[in-house]
Parts: sequence; C-alpha cells; structure tokens
Amino acid sequence: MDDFNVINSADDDDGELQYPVDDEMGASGLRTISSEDVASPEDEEEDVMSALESSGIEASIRNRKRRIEALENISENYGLHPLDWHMRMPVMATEIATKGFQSAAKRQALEELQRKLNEAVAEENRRGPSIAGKENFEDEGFDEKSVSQICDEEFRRRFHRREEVMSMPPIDGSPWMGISGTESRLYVRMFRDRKGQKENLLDAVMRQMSRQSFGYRAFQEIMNEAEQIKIRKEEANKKEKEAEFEKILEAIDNDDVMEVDGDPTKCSALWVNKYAARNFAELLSDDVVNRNLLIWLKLWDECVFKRKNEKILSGVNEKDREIFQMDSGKVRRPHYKIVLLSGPAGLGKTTLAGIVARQAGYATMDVNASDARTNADLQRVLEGAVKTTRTLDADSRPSCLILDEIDGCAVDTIRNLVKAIQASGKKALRRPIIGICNNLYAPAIRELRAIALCIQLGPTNQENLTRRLQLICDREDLRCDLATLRRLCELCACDMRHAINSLQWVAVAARKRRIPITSKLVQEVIERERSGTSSIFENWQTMFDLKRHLDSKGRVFSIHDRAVRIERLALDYGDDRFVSGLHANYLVSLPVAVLRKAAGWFQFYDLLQRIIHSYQNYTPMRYSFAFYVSLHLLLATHAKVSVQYPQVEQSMFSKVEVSFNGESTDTLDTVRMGGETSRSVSRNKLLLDVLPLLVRIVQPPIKPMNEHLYTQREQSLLNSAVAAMCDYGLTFVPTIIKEQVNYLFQPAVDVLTMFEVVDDKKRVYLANATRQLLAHKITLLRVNLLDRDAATVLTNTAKIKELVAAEKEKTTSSDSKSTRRRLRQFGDVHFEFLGGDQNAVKKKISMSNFSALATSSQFRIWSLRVLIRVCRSVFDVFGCSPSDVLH
Amino acid sequence: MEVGPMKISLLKREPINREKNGLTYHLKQANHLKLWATTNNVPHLIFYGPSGAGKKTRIKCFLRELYGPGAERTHMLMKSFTTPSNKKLEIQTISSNYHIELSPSDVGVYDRVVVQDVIKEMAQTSQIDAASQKSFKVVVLCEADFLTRDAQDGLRRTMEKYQHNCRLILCCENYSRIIEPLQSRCIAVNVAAPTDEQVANIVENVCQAERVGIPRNVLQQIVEKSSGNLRRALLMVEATRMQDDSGTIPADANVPVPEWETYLKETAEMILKKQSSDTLFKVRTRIYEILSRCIPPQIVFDRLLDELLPACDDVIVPQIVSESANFEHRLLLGQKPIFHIEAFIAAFMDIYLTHLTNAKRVK
Repeated sequence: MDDFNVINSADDDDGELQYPVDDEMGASGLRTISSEDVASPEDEEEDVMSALESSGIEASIRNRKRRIEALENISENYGLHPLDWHMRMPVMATEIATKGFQSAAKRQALEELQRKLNEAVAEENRRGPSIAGKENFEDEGFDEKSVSQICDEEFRRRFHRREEVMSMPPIDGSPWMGISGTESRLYVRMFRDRKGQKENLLDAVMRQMSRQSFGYRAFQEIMNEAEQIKIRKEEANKKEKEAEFEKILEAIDNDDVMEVDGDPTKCSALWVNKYAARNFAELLSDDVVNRNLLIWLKLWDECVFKRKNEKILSGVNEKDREIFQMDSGKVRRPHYKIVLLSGPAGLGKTTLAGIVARQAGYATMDVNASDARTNADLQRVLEGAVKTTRTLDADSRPSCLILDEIDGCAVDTIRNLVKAIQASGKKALRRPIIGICNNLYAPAIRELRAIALCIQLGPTNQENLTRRLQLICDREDLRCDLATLRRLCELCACDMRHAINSLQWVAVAARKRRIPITSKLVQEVIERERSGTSSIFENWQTMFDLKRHLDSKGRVFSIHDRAVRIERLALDYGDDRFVSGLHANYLVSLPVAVLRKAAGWFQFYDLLQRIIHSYQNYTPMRYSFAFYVSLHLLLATHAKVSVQYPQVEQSMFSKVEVSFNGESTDTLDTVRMGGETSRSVSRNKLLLDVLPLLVRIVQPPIKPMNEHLYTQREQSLLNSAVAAMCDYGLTFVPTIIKEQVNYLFQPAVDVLTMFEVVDDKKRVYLANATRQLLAHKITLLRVNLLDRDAATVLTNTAKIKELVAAEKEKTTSSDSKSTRRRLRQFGDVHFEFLGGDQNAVKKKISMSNFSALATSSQFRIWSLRVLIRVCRSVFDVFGCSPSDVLH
Repeated sequence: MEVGPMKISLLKREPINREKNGLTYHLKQANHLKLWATTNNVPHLIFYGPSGAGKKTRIKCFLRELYGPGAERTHMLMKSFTTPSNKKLEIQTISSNYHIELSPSDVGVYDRVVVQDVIKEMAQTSQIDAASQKSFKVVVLCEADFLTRDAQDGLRRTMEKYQHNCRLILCCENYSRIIEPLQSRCIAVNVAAPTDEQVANIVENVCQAERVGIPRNVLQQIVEKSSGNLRRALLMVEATRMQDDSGTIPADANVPVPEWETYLKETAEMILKKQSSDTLFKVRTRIYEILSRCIPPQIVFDRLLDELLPACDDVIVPQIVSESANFEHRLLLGQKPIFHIEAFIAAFMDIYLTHLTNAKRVK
C-alpha cells in the first residue's frame, strides 16, 4: 500500500511491536538501519545460513560483535527522540516468555532445515551420477542449487517484507517504530503476521515446494534420507554414551528394562523435577557408585527373576568382588540384603535409587518420612512388597523397596527391619531393599549398618553439574555464562537440588528486574536467601544494635523504616525463645528510667501471651509488634552488645519444671513422699518454713569422734537429729566428689534451701564422719520402724509368736491380768498346711490322730493321699523319712 | 477448757514440742467448733488465716471431735487419675476411715480433674459405719486458694449434690481467692495468727515441757522473727537449741531464719545501694536463683516490698505501694514471674533514684 515510501526492508523476523529488551534484540532491530541501510544487493546474495543466523536470537559471536558495534554507533549517532516514548515502555514478563518460546521454536526449525538440507546436498553429491541416469526429471534442473534457491526465495519472500524502513510512518495502520537518523527521521514498519508466525517454517517451505510437483517429490526423498541419517547418528550417540554400562546392560533382557513411562513431573513448574534425571545415562552421581548399585541389584536376579548370569561380575575388579558375594541359601541371594545409600542432601540419592531399580526391572516402592513409620507400617510394607514373590506376573514387575530417610526411623523400627532382613526359611527376604540416609552414622541405624552394603555418595562433580545447569539454561532460554554457573555451583556447595532451585529463583529475579543473569545477581539472590536463615543471635543484635540499621551511606534509618524492619523481624522470628533472649540481654547500660519502660513492655508481652494461651485467641498477637518496636526504639544504641543465650532462665526452668524432672521440684516431692511427718505439710510450708530450719536442726555442732565417747547430752542431740531426719525422710548418702567420699543430703535439701548469703561462712556443717554416723543410725531406726509397722499387721505367724512369748511369760512370771487377756485374745490358733511361713509352725502331732482320721473317713483313697502329703511335711519337720513310719 | 489434744509437734518423735494441752488460743471459736461437732448438722467450712496460725491443727481437732481418735489413724495413698489429654497423674492423699485430705493444687492446672473425678468419687461412696458414726465423710482440701477457677467451679455442684454423704473443709490463706459461690456455701472460720503474747506463751510452755531453758531475749527474738507464725517459732526454738552442742540455749544465741529470707534481704540491700542497669542485672540473677528453688514469686514479691519499704522516704511510699500492687496483680495474671518482679524492681529503682536526685537538688 504505502510501498512508495519504503526505503529498505529488513529481514528481522521479530514481529512483535516491542522495544527490544536487551542489547542483542536492540542491535538486530537497529542493524536494519545502520548496516543494511546501505546494504547492496550482493549482501542479499549471502547464503541461507548466514541470513538465518543473523535473523535468529542466538547468533554467532561474530554477529553479536557486529551488532554491539552497530549499537554503539547508533547511540553515538542518534540520541533518543522525544517521540520515541514508546521505546521505553515496560516489557511484560509474559511477552518475553512467549517471545523466547517462539524464537526457540524458530531457531530449532531453521537448524533442522539447514542440517537436512546440508545432508541432502551431501547425499545428492555422493550418489549423483548413478541416480541421474535413472530418474529423468532430475535433469530438469532440480539440483542442489535449486533446493537452496527455493529456500532462499522463500526466506526472502517471507522475511524481506517483515520490516521496512520508511521515510514516513506507514499509513495502513500497521505498527511502526521511529528512529532518528543523521539528517532525517526514519520509520520502521513492523508486521504482525501472527498466522505466518505460528506456522512452522519448515511446513511453509514444504508447501511451497509441493507446488512444483516433481521438485517436491525429490525434496521429500531427500528429507527422508536426512531423517534416516539423523536417526542413525542419534543411535550411535546414545550407544557411545552408554558404552560404559554396556556390560551390565547386556545382561538385562530387553523386555526387563523398564522405560520411564509418561512422567507426571514433565509439566512440573519446578526445574528440579522438570530436569531430574530420567535414565541411567543422565545420572550425575559418580559412575562407580551407580555401577555398584546396579550390579548389586542385578545380583538379585537369581532370586527374583530365576535366572543366573555370571557375566555381571566380569567387569568388577577383585577388590570389589568380595562385596558382591552371594550367600549359600537354597535360592541364592546377595550376601548383603540391603543397600544403604548415604551422602549429603541434594546429591540425587533418591533419584539414583529410583532409576537404578527401574533399570534393573523392578517397580519401585517408596516409603519416606512423610508416611508413618511405625513398626506396623513397616511390617505391612515388608509383607506387601518384599516378602511375597507372587507379583512376578507377565506384566507386573517385582517391587523393590526404597526406604527414604531411614535415619529418621525409631530404633525399634530399625531393629524390626534388621530382624526381617535376617530372617531365613519361608519368611526370608525375597526382594532387594534400598535404604537412603543422610548420615550413615546416625545412632538409629547402627544395627542396620552392620548388615548392609554401605555406599557413600561423594559430592557431585562440579563440571558435570555446571554442564547440567547449562543444559537447563539452554532449554529455558536463559542467557547465562559458564563462569556464573560455576559460581552458582560453588555457592550451593555442589548441592544439585539447591543449585537448580537457586538457578530458577535467580532466573525469576532476573526477569522481574529485567537484568541479565550475572554472578553478582546470583550471589545477591543466594545471599538474600541465606539471610533468611540468619542466626538468632544476629536477630537479637538487630534489636539492640543500631549498627544493623545503617543505610549505604552509614546513616541510621528513619524511625519509620526501623519500625518496619523490626516488625518484619518479629514476624519471622518472634517466638518465645526470641523474647527470652531479648529479656536476657536487654539490660544494657541505659538510665534506669528507660529500663523501667522496657520492663513494662515485657510485662505487656507477657500479658498478651497469657491471653493467647489461656483462651487460644490469637487476635492479640498483632499487638505484640508494639512490644518489639518499642523495645527497639527504647534500647537500640550504637554501643556494642554482646548477646548471650538465655541460659540462666533455661536453667531455672529446668530446675523448677516438673516435666523436665526439675531438680528442685524433685527434691521437694521426694521429701514430701519420704517422711511420715512431711506428708501432712504442704509444699510451700515445707519449703518456706520447715526445710530451711530443719537443715540447721539436723546439723548440731558435734565433733566427730567415736560414738561411745559422746556425752549423754551429745548423744541426745544426735538422736534428736536422727529422729528429725527420719521423720522427714532424709538421710546422708556417700557420694564421690573429686575422688573423696562425701556424705551428702539425700534428697538434697541443703541445695534447695541454702543460698549464697553473706554470713554463709558461719554456717555449721556436719563433718563427714558424723554424717556417716548419722546415716548409719538413720538406717537402723528405719529398720526398727519397719519392723514395728510390720508387727502391727498381725499375721498368724505373729500371733503364734506372741502366743509363745506369752506362754513363756506365763511360766516365768506370775499370772498378770494383761497376759491372761492376751491369751484369751489369741486362744483360737489355727493353721493351714503350707499356708504360711514354713518354719513358723512347730507343734507335736501324733500319728494316731492321722490314722483315726483316715479310717473314719469315707473317702479313703483321697484322704490317704492327703495323709501322705501331710506326713511328708511333718516328717520333714521331725527329720525322719516317711517310709520308716509307713512301714 | 479442753477442746482436744493439740499437737503443735512438727517433729513427731521429737521429745520437744510434744504438747498435750488443748488449743490455747481463739478459745471461743474452738467452742463453737466443738458444739458443731456434737450435732449431726455440720456445714461446709472454710478455714482461713495466715500461715502457721494453726488452721490444720484446728481442722485435726475438729475431725477428732467428730469421729473420735479413729480420725487420727491416717495413712498415705496415691490416687491416680487420667486427664482429658490422656496424661496419667497421681495425687497424694492422706486418709483415715472417715476423712480424706488432699491438696489438688499439687497437680497444677489439672486440679479441675481432681475435683471432678477424685473428690466426686470420694463423695459418692457413703460412710461405712453410718449408724454409729456421723452420716457423712469429710474431704479436706488444703491450699484451696491455689485452686484454679475451673476447679472451684467444679466444686460448686459437688458440694450441693453430695451434701448427704460428704462435707468439705477448705483450708486456705487467702479468703478472697475463693470464688463467691463457694464462699456463700460455706461457713468461714477465720484462724487469725496468734498475738505476740500468745506466741511467747506457747513457746514458753513448750520449752517448759521439754525442759529447755529459754532466755528472755531469745524468746523476744523468736517472737519477732516468727511474726505470728507458730510453726516457724517452734522450729526456730529447736534450731537455736541445736546450734549449741550443750543442748541449751545461751543468752546471746542468734535465732536463725530461713536462708531465702536472708538472701532476699541482701538483694533488697543491693537494690537500695545503687540503682543502675548493672545492679538490675545482678538482682535478676539472684531472683532467678530464688525462683529456681521453687519459692513462689508472690512471696518473693512480698518479702522484697517488706524489705524495701522501710528504707523509703514517706513521700514515695504511696507511689511504690501502688506500683507494687499493679505489678503483683499482673504477676498473678501473667505467665513469666521474672518479667514482673524485674519490672517492679526497675520501677522501684527509678522512683527511688528520682526522689534521691530531687532531694539533693533541693538541698
């Protein structure tokens, strides 16, 4: 339409009306004027490839250089025109994404085409004359030149109208872009040929070709040929890649190898999942490790798939061969029934296990920490997966159990697992188990370690990881140089998962801020991520130290900014421990009036917590920010604050809290339980009144010496101390302190009640020897008391004893009233056979008593049996044998 | 008159303290109790009064009057119960055939469960020998003022429902912490602390019975230091006696006091000496030390105030008292006692320091 004002048309295939985001795009856009403005027709005679290249985003470095130069020229020559406001329009991330996608597709198509064409040309050249004779239509001029010509034309047709440089803005309403030239202003028209864009370029070329019938057929043929070559090449490539594992893979039947079918993670947004290894060749971990694991799994073939292959071990050296021994069971299984994969996080242990198991023809069964891992669960899984053999059907595969994060299991569970592994006979393990853990030396899996084949994964090779990251960058259309990726690997300490996650995160950040990915950005992002895990000490310091609130010029932030920062901090870390730490450290050298206010805020916080906890009402939580912010504003200074962990509070807590077996509480409770008198005294009274004075009462100032040398008064003092201690359940126990035996209070009431007071030097302590004496006396008294208590519960034995005693008394002394009463009381003595203490009953019984009983009884046989038993016991007592009497 | 044998004895097998006379003070009240005990018409009772005034003794005497000497034959029993959160807890009870004595506050916040389960179960079973004895059993709840609100609410219904079988005797120091519904269901018996003369009298009697001579000034000291707490007074007598290896109390004997009091006194001196963040830090360490020995924070608070107030000028006393009232109130509401005690000390320091500097300026 307005071709009249077209100065030149560019071959830029970017159809978007967008100011290019980056230098390359800008260069390619601007190049149309700077370099091709004056482009002679010879330039257009460039071969297809260079034309394609220069049009694509991913250009050769040569081109890039040229463009950058061109850009510099432009910026020198032309300033930004005020009319060009739209050049500064922000670019939406989505548009960039679509553009990236489109250009990638285009690039791919072009590359494909170019390769095919080249191959086709080569093929044509090779067999040229022989075919020429047979197929006449080739003589019609369809040779290599014609193909390239067709393409050439097509491209020219398609692209040369893409952008046109005009002297005036286009009048047909198509999008345009203004550029100020040296003398005049130029306008670039941009076509938005949506339909054309979506079409595959290749299809377009083919369609074009099909119009010329015989040319198309020839092209088709060439295409097929090229396809074939490509496939062959790929196969060769693949073979080369897996050459290392050839030996092992040979042993595997083709139908055993499980292809990774429709991956659910394919569409995953997380790159970690998206680019996880899909097959054995893609694994990044150490080859030796991979191979060992695979060999071990193949050893199970004999048990699982019922076939032997000795070839597996052929590639293994002598040293390793010991590891891969088989046991001597009926069905031979490997010596080690379980493999423990260990190594730091993010190495791809889980991925490795899964892939190897699938490679070896198993269906994997994952049990990880997210599942409950009690004994019952383990049993169920073991039963279902590993012990049964029936799953080996035509299409279903035997399962291989993968126990992820096994070091998190309870010791009990591990013990059961070990038992299951070591079982033999019918219950024997029939499937391989792979355990995965971070720490091989975790105490929980100690038992398992002894019977498992432990494979430790070293850190990932940095080069490999960098290469993988580069691949991801290519696929995701990120521009990122190798040095940056290396830096990323270093920062992540070769943690694969962390590296890929960080890369994605960096990419997002770069897109958001519209800047390229550089190592600086990588560092910044990762650092920021790290600062999320800042230590609690740093957080405490942030509260008290103004130095942590300086901007880049060394000025303290405004109060508003600081308040916001503190609020953020409190939001992230404001828990009880944090506040405890604040409380432990808030007594900085400030006027007391300030501290008073600060203390008031702590009270405020405490009351809030109280409301929250007692009513489970979290609404007041929002007011706690007032506490943090005010505290900061009150206390923050430039002085250096040495932050301490709230240990004093913790130790107090641990002494008082019942749930922590608090020392003080424990002592107090023991006293209350122990003594007879202390039972009826309430805790507080015991603690506040009784025990502090009792500690003094039971330590009279007595010099240590032999017990017999004490005067009567001293004796009585001692005795009263003993009685008091006994009443309250106290005693002294020998304890070795610094290789010396010391007698200490048990329970430790002195620790509970003694403080570091000024006049504590004057306190009287009992000497060790005296304490020992007291302890001895206390034991004696307790035994006596026990006896007395036991005596009050009258058993038959006791009754008889008393009777005997009374009888003796009767014989020795005159009949007193009390004795007679006693006799009456215990007159009806009865005893049972074997009913009580054996040596308690000694009474004369004549044989005639028994015989009379025996004859008169109707149940003779029964009674005879009883008789014999009774006799035996009687004879035992009297010391003669039963046979003597029976005769 | 003799209401019943009063055992002041704290150390039962100790020959000292074995006092077999009757209650020696608040005799009118004792008569009332005795009168009640003879009828079959005993109300629920609340005994309240300061520590060491003889509440428990009075309850024991009352029980003896009710059931005879059988009530004194007690044994200890651990009762176990399960909380709603399936936690198994035990509580120590002391029981005779006729009564049971327990302090539910021992189990902290689970006292509600004790009230609901253990006491109710007790109340539901009736007296074994109802014909010859009183028709009801008695449940003695010690430290009733430490019962949570929930537990006290739980008691309300139990009191009414099982009135035929069961009487409750609550024993507490702080009457106002018993909720009103419970107050109205019970007859309150105030056991006031014995006056100084009464304490002196009792101590003298005990010493006489034990044949320990007690000098006049030591007695005076004991009376002062015990401040109406009979338990402490008697323990002090004994501790003083034990200080000397002769077993007698010399005229210049120093009466020992519990060390935590001395410690708090020294803490108070520190506070008065210098008011700065350093002192506050040191004082905090000491407060932690005291709290870690299980000493209730309220008592720490009280003692501190007692020690601090005498050193203050009259002008600031009202201010300090009102502050301390505030802080103590919050202490009871709050969770972390150290926050409140420390806040009080900081406030005191501030007030004290301001007053001092002002006074200097005026001069």
